[in-house]
Amino acid sequence: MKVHIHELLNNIEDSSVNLEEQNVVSSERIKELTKMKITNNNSGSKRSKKGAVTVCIAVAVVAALGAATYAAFGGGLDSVLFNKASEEQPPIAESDIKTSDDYFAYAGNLEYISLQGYTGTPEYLAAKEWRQFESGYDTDFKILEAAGNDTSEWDDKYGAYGVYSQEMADKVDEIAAKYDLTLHEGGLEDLDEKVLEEKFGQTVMNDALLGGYGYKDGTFSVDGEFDGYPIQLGRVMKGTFDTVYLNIGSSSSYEEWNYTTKSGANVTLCLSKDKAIILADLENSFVSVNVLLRFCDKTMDKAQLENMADNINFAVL
Amino acid sequence: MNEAKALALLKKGDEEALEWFIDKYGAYVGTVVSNILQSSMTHEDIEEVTADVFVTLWQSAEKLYPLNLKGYLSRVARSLSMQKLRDKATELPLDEDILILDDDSEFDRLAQEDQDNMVRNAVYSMPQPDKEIFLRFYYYCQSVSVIAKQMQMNPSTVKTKLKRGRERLRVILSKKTKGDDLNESTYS
Repeated sequence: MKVHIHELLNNIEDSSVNLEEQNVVSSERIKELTKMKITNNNSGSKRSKKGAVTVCIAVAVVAALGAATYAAFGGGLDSVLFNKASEEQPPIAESDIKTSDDYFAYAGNLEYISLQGYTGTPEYLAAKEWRQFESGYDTDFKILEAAGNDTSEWDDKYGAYGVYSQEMADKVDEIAAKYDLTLHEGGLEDLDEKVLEEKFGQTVMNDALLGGYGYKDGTFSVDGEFDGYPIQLGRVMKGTFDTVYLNIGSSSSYEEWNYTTKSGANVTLCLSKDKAIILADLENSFVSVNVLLRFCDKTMDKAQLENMADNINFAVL
Repeated sequence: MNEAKALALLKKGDEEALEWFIDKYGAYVGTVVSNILQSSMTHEDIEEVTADVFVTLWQSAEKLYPLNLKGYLSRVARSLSMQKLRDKATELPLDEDILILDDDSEFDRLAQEDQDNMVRNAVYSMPQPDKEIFLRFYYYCQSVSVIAKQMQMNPSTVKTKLKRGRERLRVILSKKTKGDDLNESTYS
């Protein structure tokens, strides 16, 4: 049998060799090219779009149906929204996307939800305030460029917040103090099913493959798969300052309903053709599951989403 | 911003996170691509492939873990560069580097994932500096002279260690039993 050594190494990942980096490409040129390619992919394939939710006639029909459901439903996506798209800037139609700037303006018009808690909670308010600060800070990246890519004095304490200046560090402290929240400290921990099971005494989710990161305070985020569906499951501990948010496209495209799992947990379920979401406001934490339907070949119905919720052990979360 | 946070933001479709990754890894990816394409491609080709690596990162972000993103980028950069060479019908570098495994080797009958694990274990069990030389030559496609210069070694020493690495890999992949302990392989 003959094997080509170069071919043998095709699926190997290496970061052990400290290559002498050459400035053969300009970062600005690569950014420009990358955005152009993403824009071109976006106009050619809906599945390859990142963060984009189709705004077209077909979805408008779904949205109309969703709006009726939405109006009669309390405690759903509307209770965790950070923004309503039309309030921030006029929508840009998908058909109007011509350049990378158009694409990012379009993507920037999407709606985002809190993964920390419902509207009015300290965790929600803190995350929203940080988001507002961050979106207006260092918009020309001058401070980031000056900071460079090396480790900084803020990494240990503010590693969870993407801090690269004293001003940002001060803002984190200010918001945490204002809402009486503690920072995620202690660095990231690598998590897999075995580690999670050791921490919680049983599996977090039955029959799921999970892996990700967490903090000492119990907040964690794991990616994985359940029944062929790619998922992201996260828990944010109450009383902590967390800033991660989720792009949901348009809240009006979701059907939402309350559901009590077989183990007795009350959850909110949200289903669209691109994404499904499970939200649970528990005693000590806020749990969210993001099902990435547009990244798999399976569709999902309400019963399948309820079954997914039934397989999460909310009692240990 | 740290890597885990940047990846979390990238998963949400954050443009700044994409730019952060390009700032952090653009030179690295460009170097990997440049090493492989070498003089057979134009500067524009190198830029194209480098950008394609970050497009792949953008499109795959939702399925990535923040554990070894540099390794992931190296694999994507290598894979896309090799594809570029094939697309342009350019001869792959060092095409003579073929291993001939024993006829009764189990390797050919293994699933792809098991083959990859076997190769990974074989390469990473090499002693240093042999492992680094092997990876620089076969993974990053650096020439013997470049490796010798960058590792401050004699070119003939580099060649000797490459030869030993190839033989070690051949012996390990020629094993007859899937479950054999790779560390027990003889090193000639």
